Amino acid sequence: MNCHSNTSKSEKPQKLLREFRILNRAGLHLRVGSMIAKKALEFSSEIRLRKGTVSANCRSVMDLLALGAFHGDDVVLEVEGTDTHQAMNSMATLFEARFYEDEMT
Amino acid sequence: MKTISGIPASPGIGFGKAFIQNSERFRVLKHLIDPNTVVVEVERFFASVQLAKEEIEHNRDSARNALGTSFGDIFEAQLQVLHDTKLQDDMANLIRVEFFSAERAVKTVMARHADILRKIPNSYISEKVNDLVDIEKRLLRHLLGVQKDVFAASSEPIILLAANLTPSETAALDRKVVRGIVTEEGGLGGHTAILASALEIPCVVGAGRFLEHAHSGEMVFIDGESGQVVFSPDEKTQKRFHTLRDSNKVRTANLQSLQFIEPITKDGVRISIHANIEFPHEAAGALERGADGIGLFRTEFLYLTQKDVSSEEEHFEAYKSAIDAMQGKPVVIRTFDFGGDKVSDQFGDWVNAEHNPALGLRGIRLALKQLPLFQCQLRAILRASAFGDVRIMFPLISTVKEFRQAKRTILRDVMEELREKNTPFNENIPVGMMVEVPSAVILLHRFVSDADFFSIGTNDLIQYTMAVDRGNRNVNHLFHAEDPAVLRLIYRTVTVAGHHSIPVSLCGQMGASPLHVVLLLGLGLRSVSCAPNAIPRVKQVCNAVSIDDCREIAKRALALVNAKDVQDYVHNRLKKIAPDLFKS
Repeated sequence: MNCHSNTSKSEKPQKLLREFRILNRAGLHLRVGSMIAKKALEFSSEIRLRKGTVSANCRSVMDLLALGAFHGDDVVLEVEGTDTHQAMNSMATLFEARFYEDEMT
Repeated sequence: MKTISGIPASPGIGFGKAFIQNSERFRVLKHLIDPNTVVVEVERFFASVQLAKEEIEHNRDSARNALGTSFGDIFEAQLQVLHDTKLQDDMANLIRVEFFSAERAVKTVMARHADILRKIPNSYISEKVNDLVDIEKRLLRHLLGVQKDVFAASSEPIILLAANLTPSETAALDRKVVRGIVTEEGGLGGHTAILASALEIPCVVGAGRFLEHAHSGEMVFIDGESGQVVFSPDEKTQKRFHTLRDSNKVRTANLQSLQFIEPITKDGVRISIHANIEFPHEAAGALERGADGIGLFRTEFLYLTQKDVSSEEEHFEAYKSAIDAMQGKPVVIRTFDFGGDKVSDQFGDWVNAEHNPALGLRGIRLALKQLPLFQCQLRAILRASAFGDVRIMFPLISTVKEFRQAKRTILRDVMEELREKNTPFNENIPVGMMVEVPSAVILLHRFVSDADFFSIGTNDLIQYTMAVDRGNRNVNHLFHAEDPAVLRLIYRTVTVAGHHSIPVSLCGQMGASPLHVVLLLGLGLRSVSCAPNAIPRVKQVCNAVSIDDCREIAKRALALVNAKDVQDYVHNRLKKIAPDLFKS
């Protein structure tokens, strides 16, 4: 997708973007938000979630809730920093597993 | 330099840096803090976050254990919100940049987020507003209670300045750090005054509006004897206070040397002196100063500091430790007496709704309505009675019926219950009452067949006799122990009790002042109970006068019309009879 060039000489910071659809029925509610935030705190990269023109810092539950992302909404995950790949993969697992909600459906 | 003065409430000289306690009332007026206190305020904020976090973690763990993992997760989510660094940063920034008080910062940021959530048309999310409210409440609660941790963190001595203090705030003060208390409101006999003197922290109350002009961190000197408070004192004043403190030290040392001296009057009458205490650990200090026993163990503070209102065990432990400390000397335990000015959160619902709490549901009235609470306390007292000379005292008795109901019905039932369980207690435990309502004084002769002893509670007796709220600055000039009307009620109580051979004592601040002691001895009283630190002084007075002198003084006092005249008269007479008492 989109790669950022940067002047930093040490580890090469990069930016990854990936689109997801919210698949769990309840949408991005508090429990899901806290799951994302907890995960986001494990990485040094800045991780943001965008819905339309609104973007949220994934480390902030309150920010995530304020997105108002519901079942079926498309969102874009933006990861920028030095551990982008691990961060993106971990996040993707959460989204793809529907945040471990309504597993039976 | 600026000097103000208030009502001297607890003696001693103190100096330290000003620490302004934002009370609720003050906060409403002024949401902003002094920029100099930003660091303390931010610390206070983070301390409250930490406490809230621990509390939620505790809830989470117990929910998990009791109900299963998914229930624990409910709290996990709350923790996540609390952990939200953005949320915390927003709050801390309002304090740092806008000088908001921590409470206002919390409220503002929470309200902002709650608004955003409410607008989201998804019930899963908008319902979470409740979680926010819950967290906000927790933070605010901790902010109001977190003050003491800030004190503990402060290594420098401070003088606490406040509009008023709640009993639990005062009780939590550490006298190593807090070297003095100055409040805008309050009077003698208010809980701040009582507690400060129990904690032996110099205190001035009722100083009027001054917080607006006080600066956090400036030096404050306080003289708890004269009621003088000096802000940013000049060198000369500092010197004066240091000298004053040194001479106080000498006087205290002299008084301490009175420990083994018996309180015997010049004509050989032994007066018994007991101590009023709030906390069991004060008993040791009372004994050290030669107290003949505990004349009044106030138990309200046990309710304010404990988490579970109905914890019989905590009460039992507290009573027993005071009893053990007194080594066989009598300990009079007064059952809970929540008054208008001593209401804790737990009891707020019952009492706050009253327009006139001093004349409302308090003392024995509340006890008779809240039977489980009352029975629980009686059980604890009875159990403690197996370990020493314990006596029960009921507060605020205004009718014979109340006393009988408490003693003959409720206490008897609790005794029966203990007997059935083979729990040991003193079957003949003396049961007495506070004489503090004029109706009880007037009908005292009808109480003599039921009560084993009387104790005159002067603070309330004055309040009810003079119809004066002692905390109200507009009228507290009428609040005088020396008022001849009050003296006559005391005289009647002592006389009736003597006539029926019922032991009578007096507890309350009147027992601590030399002038008052002379009057009381003259009125026939032979036993008083006062704050432990006042005991040496009272002994000194007893040693310096004869009962004949006192009787003559009291007789003249009863014939006077004004409190002021009584004061002047007793003062002048005592100066002649016992000039030594007036040397510092």
